[in-house]
Amino acid sequence: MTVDLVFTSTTIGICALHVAIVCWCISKLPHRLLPYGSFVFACALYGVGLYVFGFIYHAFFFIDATLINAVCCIVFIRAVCDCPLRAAVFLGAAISLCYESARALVLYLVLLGLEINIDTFEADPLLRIVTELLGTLLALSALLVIHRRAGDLEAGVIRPLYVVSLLQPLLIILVVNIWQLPGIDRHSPYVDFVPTLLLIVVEAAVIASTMVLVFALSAERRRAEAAQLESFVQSQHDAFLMRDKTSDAVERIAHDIKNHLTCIQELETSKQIEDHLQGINDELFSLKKYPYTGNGTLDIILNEKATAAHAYNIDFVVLVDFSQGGFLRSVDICAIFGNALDNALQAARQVKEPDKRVVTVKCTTVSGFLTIRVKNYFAGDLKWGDGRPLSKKREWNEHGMGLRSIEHSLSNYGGMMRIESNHDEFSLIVLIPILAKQGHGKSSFAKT
Amino acid sequence: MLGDGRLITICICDDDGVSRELVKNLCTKMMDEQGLEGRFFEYKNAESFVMGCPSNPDILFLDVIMGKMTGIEAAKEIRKENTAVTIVFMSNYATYAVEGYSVQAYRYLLKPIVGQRFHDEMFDVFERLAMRRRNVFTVKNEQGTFAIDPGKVIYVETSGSKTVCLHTVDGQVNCRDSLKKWDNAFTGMGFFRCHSAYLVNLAYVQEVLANDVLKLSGGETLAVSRHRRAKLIEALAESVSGRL
Repeated sequence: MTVDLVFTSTTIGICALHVAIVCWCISKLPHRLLPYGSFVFACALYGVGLYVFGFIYHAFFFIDATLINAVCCIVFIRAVCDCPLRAAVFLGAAISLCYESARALVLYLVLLGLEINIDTFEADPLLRIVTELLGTLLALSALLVIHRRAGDLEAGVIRPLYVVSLLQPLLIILVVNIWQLPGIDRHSPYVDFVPTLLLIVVEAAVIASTMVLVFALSAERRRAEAAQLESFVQSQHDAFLMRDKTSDAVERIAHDIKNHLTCIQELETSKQIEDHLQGINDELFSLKKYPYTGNGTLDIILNEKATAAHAYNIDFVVLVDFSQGGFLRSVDICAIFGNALDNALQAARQVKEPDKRVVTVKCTTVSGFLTIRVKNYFAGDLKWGDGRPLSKKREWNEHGMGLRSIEHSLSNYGGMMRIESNHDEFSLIVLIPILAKQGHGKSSFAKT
Repeated sequence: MLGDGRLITICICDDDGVSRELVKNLCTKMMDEQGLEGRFFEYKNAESFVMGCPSNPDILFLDVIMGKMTGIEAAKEIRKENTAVTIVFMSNYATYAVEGYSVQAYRYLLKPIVGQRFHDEMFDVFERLAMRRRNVFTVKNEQGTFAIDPGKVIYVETSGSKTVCLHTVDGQVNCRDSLKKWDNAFTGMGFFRCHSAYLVNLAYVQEVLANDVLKLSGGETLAVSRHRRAKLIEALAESVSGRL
């Protein structure tokens, strides 16, 4: 029992030390998106897995290591990046296989080159350290090269990864020294456990670096995606500014025409002409500008969408109090309202019942949140994926971009997006904490 | 001290008799669906409504434009006393909705009122009332027996070892229970444990301030535990999204 105790506590202690080092490395990464909890959880899982499998480890050196590595990787990827299970399994398995193969190759070459068998090899700690160091560096470099080539890795990520892998041999030396401390009886049963212990430490270190790598890659991917969304939102906004200029021009013309009409009306009063004038007035309705909210950007969007709704014979109800919304950037107002209303109008167009061709947009401040609800009916079934309805748009580059660009804009304010749907009703609700008057409160909302 | 725990009290204030009748019928229909029973109070103008409004009504339907006093002015009067009641404005014009928001009236019926629109705006209001009616709790203490409607509880506070104080719209009720018990009893009804000593009804939270304090709609403030803050924001967002 005492043997188990020493064994367990040493393993835990070394794992904890390693977790601390890896956490430090993570803190050096450019994007601190990683929840430490899930990392520690994955490491603990890995430790337990190795503890259980450690004793049969010698026999299944390669297969076993790859398997455990893969399982931990998958769990980790699922916990850290919100990607689908299939992608996590694929990525985890691929990384582990590639990693373990590289290390096994180095081991094989060393055994071959020195013409020794595995038992001799394991009895020589120094040889192990050098081999593991080489294997880890080779595996890590291979992965880094692949991903740098793919172009989604920032140069700043690489140094922490190498630090992790270089620290591993130091840890192993530490373990070896524990074994050789004067107080420990070399003939006691402890000693039998040391090779296993060594393997566990090495493996824990390796998995930790793999995890850091996976995380670094996912963080990079997020960064790339955020940049892509930002440029999408920006291009929408630019397009919107362009349209605004043209609509201003149209409006000026409309105003001039109206003046002319008024003159004609004063000159002639026969019934027929009045009817005719009424007709022209109706046509001009679509050019009319409603001062909905007092916010320039929002007014233009609402007017534009109102015109679109009018054209599709959709009832467009605007109940918007935007008096507290001034803190939103114009580009974000454009992304949030523009995309939400586009989606709603798109869905409402498919609805047959005239009663249900309605899009309602409500907005006000409720309990310290700027709250926006865009409600519409829809026809047919919604296809769901990833907790949200899937886009019906055909253009591949705009597929699903609407909701994602809303989310991207919200991430600047710690805002939240919710979707409610029952029968044939659909609501998109956006909640943004209003922090302007609270001054310093922003950081506490940043990642909720 | 206690309101009638069973009947739904609905006030309709509109100078147009046809509208009043229509709203009444639509309400009755919806309450039948939810298995609720109600009583109606009708008023022809805002002045008589403000004078004669029953205590603790559940829903107010107010026409915006009536005689001298507008529905919005009337709502402001009512809100001084009552922060809980659901106020629904009715008007031919959408423009008044924004003013309605200033008295926490998030439901707005555009006239002419048709069944579909009424259903859209009011369905979840009645659904929530029905849920509240199904979950009326009874509390016994030295003062007597009290029926507790969760919708009227503003917050529950630990007032000593194994005693809590329920702060309701109608006043305070003490009882010998743990806060945990009430936390469990109110599960799914929009309550949140914002502090080890407080269980707050999110419907009465006006805003969460930066200095770890939340402000209730009555102006009172409660402390928020720092580690519960993020979860509170999330829960509050959920509660808010159901209101607008």
